[in-house]
Amino acid sequence: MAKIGFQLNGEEISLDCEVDEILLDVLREKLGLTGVKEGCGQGECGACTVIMDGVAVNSCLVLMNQVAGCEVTTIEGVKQNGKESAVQKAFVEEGAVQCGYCTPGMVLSAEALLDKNPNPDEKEIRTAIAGNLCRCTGYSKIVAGIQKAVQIRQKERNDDI
Amino acid sequence: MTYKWIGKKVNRIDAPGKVSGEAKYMTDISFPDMYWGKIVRAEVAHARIIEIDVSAVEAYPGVRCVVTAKDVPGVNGYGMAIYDQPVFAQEKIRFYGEPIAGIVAETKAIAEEAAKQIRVTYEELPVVHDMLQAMKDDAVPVHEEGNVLFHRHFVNGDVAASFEEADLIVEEEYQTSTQTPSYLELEGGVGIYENGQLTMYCASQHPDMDRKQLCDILALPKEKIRVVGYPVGGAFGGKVDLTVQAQIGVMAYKARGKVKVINSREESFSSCWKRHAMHIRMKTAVRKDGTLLANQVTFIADTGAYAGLGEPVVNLSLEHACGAYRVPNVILDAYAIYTNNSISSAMRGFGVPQANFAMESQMELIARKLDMDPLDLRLLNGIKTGDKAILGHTLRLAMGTIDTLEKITEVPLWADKEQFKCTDNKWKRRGVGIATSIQGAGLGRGLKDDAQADIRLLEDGRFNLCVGTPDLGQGNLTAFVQIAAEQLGCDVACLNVLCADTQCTPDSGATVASRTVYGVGNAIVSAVDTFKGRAIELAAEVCQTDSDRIHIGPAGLIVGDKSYSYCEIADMATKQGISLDSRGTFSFPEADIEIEGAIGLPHLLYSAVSHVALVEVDVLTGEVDVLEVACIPDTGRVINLQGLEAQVEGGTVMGMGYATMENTILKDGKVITDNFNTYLIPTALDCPKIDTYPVEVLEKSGPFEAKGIGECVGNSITSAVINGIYDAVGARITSLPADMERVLEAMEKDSEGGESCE
Repeated sequence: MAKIGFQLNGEEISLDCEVDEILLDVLREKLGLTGVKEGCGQGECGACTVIMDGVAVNSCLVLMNQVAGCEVTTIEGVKQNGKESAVQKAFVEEGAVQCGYCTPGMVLSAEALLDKNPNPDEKEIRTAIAGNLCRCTGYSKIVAGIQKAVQIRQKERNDDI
Repeated sequence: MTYKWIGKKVNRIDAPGKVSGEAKYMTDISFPDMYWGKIVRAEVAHARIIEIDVSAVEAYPGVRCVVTAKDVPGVNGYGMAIYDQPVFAQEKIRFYGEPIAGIVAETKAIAEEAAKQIRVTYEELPVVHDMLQAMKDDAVPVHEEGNVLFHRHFVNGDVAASFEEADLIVEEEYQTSTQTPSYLELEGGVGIYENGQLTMYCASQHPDMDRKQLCDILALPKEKIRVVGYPVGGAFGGKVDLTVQAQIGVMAYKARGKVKVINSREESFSSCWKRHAMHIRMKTAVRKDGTLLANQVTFIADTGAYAGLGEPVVNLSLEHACGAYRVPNVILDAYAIYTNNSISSAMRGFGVPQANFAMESQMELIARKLDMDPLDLRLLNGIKTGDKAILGHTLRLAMGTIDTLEKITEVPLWADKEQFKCTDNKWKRRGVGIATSIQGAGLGRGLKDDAQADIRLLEDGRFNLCVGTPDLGQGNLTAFVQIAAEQLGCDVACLNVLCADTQCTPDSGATVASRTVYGVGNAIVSAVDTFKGRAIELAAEVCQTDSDRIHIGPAGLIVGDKSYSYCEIADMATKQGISLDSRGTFSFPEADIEIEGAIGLPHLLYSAVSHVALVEVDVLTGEVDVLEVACIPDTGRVINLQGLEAQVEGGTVMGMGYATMENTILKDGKVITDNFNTYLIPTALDCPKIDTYPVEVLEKSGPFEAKGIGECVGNSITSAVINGIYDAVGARITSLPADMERVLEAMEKDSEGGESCE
């Protein structure tokens, strides 16, 4: 058992856990963050995606000792002051959600992409979510959602200026 | 007629909770005093059980209890049609991954560790893995009664005479693969058995049917069982049969507490309900003008170890054996065969995708042999309202086949196909394929197909709309709200939806068979009408006026020149001591004839879809890339265009995966493609641009003239892709999927080389 400190959704936390515990299990079972989903347990489906130090990762492949000192964002940390992010708004507006099980991971992959590349083309969007499987949508409306989020983000930036 | 909500853009009501991660799926539910359960599964596909030794596990620290077949309080069997599947294997094991025992422990880790201590002594039996061999009289039996679960033979007209008369006979054999539904949410949930009552939280397509089976398994009356089945992280037919509810139920019962179980993906792929692999023989007689005269078809379906819905699935193949065409003479045979190849049952399309692949392949061969345009051939034979279907029933309701086919001529992908087929890459060839499909909606004749819905006015003037049918992701709840709001004349925001909880929602039937928008939608219309009548009656009494002076306004009732908000109406009802809760019911209309002994045949209501696919084949590797797709659905009146497009896009991609990549590979009965690294489904990079061109062939009996669509959108795309490959390189694919090996092999066999565009 070790004490592992990291930043989770903007707050510093410190947890007693085994160093080889899996981040996904800790988030869901110890911290009750069930927005993080498990779909395959081996990094194939992307349902468990979280953002770790700016990179979208499969939390089912991350051990707790890798998390020490990192910044982790889960879907629960995406809303800011109770307001939906541009990606979340756009997903609702564009009908990018069906059963919704892939949605948290999909949103986080999109957030990570847009934080790095504010104006991606369609190929870049599809590549960024290629590790997030969705069985319901055929991806078209998810891609459209991310494209819409680009516009919303741009507008929000312009409004800020 | 102009509508306020029907056909208008309304965002999905469940989307905000899903994008924020707040939506609690059944596998997200936990309790502080909860045990974890682990299902111990067979590691052989066919064996006689000699002994299951659980002694080491019962004493294992942290284990609450162990359950096996002998702990099932009621019937150790379940199934949608017959109870042939044990909750826990008894005497025999019939598939790899079959539940043998359940461990209930304080933690997940203890349950998993303890599971390894169970000792099962088997006498292995030969694995029955080939359905054609399994049909033979001397085959090793999977069940004592023999391996032919079901056979139906059907004859209409004079097939022999038609084969005499025919100018062309096309005969071919087809083989389809086992498709895995691959919903993202793994099977699981929480069962609670406390104070003699069971509560089951587990994703479901029909909580009332789950409850019925749990009542028999646990020997409890239905008042003692509550099933909650929504939200659902995808199902596609695979959660209409029980998944793990039976095992969780027995574990919770013995543990006298709360037990949570979640399958791993490997457990899921080994033990989930899949699409039947089928062997299909088809012999089609045609006149030289292209008129279809007769079809002789045999379907042999691998239903795996247990029946599931094997019989109705092959019945549906039989009903759709000639696709969307008029064929006056048929001889049809359909078999469902037991093997040790996992288990197959309902999956989106329910036996129709297999039939459609064969028939639409035949149509392409016929067009080529008669040198006819493939679209003209389909238009010539396409079925219309008033025609007799192949089973002999009259198609009384709206049939959109011709409308969807005619629309193809306007679709750029077809109209300018030569342009689309050009490529500069000398190793690639492009082709454009078309196909069309119909799909019966509802359960079919002879199966009670009723839907109920409740509308309840709340104190604050808002409404609860209560339906038993869960939204599996297709968006039916949003359509229901639009239907209710339109009929009520109120704002969509005034409606809450309660769904799929046997404690507070009526039995609306199952979310299956493209039946909910039509069937439950109609029940909602009826519930709202009843509510309006009661509210007016109440207001007439309270206001001492004639009911014809009372009208329904957008937010309440208008009585003469005075208006009463729904809040005031609710108050009025409370003071008068009456309830305005209203139930609507609807029964599916049935076809005019019955097929003797057949369950669920024929249908009366059909949706129709056509697909056009632009396909690129790499002539060096055989790799197929689907570049663009046009889909033309007829779903009657479109309730929610975005929702329809979403169904089209998702169904199209699922059918494309079936065409090009999805294949459950079994070795000695063991699923070896047991995760997403080996069982491939399309990713965002594999998917084409998809355009949707709805044609609205209005169906008067539907709610606002709408029909369902969820299944039909996934059928004809598979054949359109296969026909596109034929157009590109002249190779006929007769076995699914068209993976690189198969395409190369077919190209070597019958390639015409294709033309490059230089």
